[in-house]
Amino acid sequence: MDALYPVLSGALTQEKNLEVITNNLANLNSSGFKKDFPILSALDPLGFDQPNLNGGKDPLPTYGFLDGISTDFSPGVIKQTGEPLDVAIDGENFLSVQTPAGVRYTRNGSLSLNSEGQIVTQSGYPVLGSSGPITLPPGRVNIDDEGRVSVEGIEIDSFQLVQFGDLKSLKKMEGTLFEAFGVTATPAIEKRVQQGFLEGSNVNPVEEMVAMIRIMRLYEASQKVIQSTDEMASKASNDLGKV
Amino acid sequence: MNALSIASTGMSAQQLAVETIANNLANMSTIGFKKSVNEFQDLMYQTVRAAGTSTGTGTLPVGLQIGTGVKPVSIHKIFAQGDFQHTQSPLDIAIQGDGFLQVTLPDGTTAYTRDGALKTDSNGNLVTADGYQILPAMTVPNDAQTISISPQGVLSVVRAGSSTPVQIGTIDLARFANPAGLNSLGQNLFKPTLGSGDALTGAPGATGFGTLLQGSLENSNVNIAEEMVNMIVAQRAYEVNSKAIQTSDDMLGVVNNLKR
Repeated sequence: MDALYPVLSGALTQEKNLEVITNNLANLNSSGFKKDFPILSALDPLGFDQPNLNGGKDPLPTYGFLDGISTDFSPGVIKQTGEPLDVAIDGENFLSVQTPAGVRYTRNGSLSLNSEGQIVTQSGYPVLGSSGPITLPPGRVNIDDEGRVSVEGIEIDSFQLVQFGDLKSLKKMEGTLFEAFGVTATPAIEKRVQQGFLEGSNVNPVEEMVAMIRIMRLYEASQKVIQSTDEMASKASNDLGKV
Repeated sequence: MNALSIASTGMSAQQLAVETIANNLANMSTIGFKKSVNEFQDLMYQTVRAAGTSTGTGTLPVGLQIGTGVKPVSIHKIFAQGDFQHTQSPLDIAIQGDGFLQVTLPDGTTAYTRDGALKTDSNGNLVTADGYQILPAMTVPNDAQTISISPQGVLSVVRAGSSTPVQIGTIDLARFANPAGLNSLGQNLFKPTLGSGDALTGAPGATGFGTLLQGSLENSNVNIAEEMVNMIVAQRAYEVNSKAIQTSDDMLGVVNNLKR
């Protein structure tokens, strides 16, 4: 019966794993979305092995669990839209966005103007320039490689592009936004911005499908182990005493 | 099984994408129609454990955040210029550049359109194909021989028995800080919202305003190849999300078979 709970922990872990994969698939077409991947670990719950009669130690069954979820920041697919306010950002730089909760960062370059002429994200949060939101006068917008925004040839402002020493400390928020958690954003050194292009998600459906198949089969294997354990227990309790 | 509901958000998002594409394709030949695009974003994250949490011996390098799916964040119009179609009809006008024609609705309010297929009604009023009057109102005399509209919007006619053109009025244009925020009314008409800002009017050719092109119409800016590709992308995304639902269901089946 020792096998039941460790196997169960593995099955529960695969359930959580499936949620991560499913969220990636749901965001297959979300601009600037970065896929997550699970970090699975094994755990000896008591932290020590069981002493045996020979003076040695037998390993206790280990439990599988979801230790963490990490985000893969590799670039997503780039698609051409031709829209003047769509920008794709090369490298590992982020746009700074002003939200009611503070400054957040995004790779989603699907931008728009609000009624005051400010450059905003599709959720309506202003995108920050060198000192606050960027307000554009009417006219033809041009965004150059370095993220400088000009209208009818007159430079207005430039995007506040930032980079992070450690991308692992970025915490995901609703709306393809990231919150810097324990790291500070520093001004980007190498800037490259492409106007008229959008970065899609970096989710690879094939990879996710394969992961999903593996999860399904592992889950089935857990079921088989639980059933065999149950059969053994049944034999012990029902058949062993029979003459 | 949370994966079921996460995958269902993915399926409904892609369904919406296909609806938008279908509407674009349906209006492929609608004069002055502007295509719509969908934009999606991830939903809230369920933070089980935050990165940087103390473990006693150090801090966790990564957190444990599980996403809960996807949501449509906007379906917005792309106001890129459509192709011009030459009709030779004197009352067909295309706007080259930014701006909308102003139209008075029966309820007295003003709506805006890029559809320049104009007509004259029985009283000689300049109206849209639906019979709504153009603002500022203009009346073409019924003995007008030729009608000419200049790139700057000046409408003049040569009346019977005369050889000098008479100026009737000027067709003004309206523009918006954020045209993507306009509300589509159907019939190729738009209404301003708080998101679009108020209309700024001006003569065609003034700074920021387009010019008029008589004898032409602006076709929709729908590009079939682009819509087809988007449709394929949406269909495949729908499929993989349905596979995630199937997998969740299969796993639930496994659970149901645990106890025999």
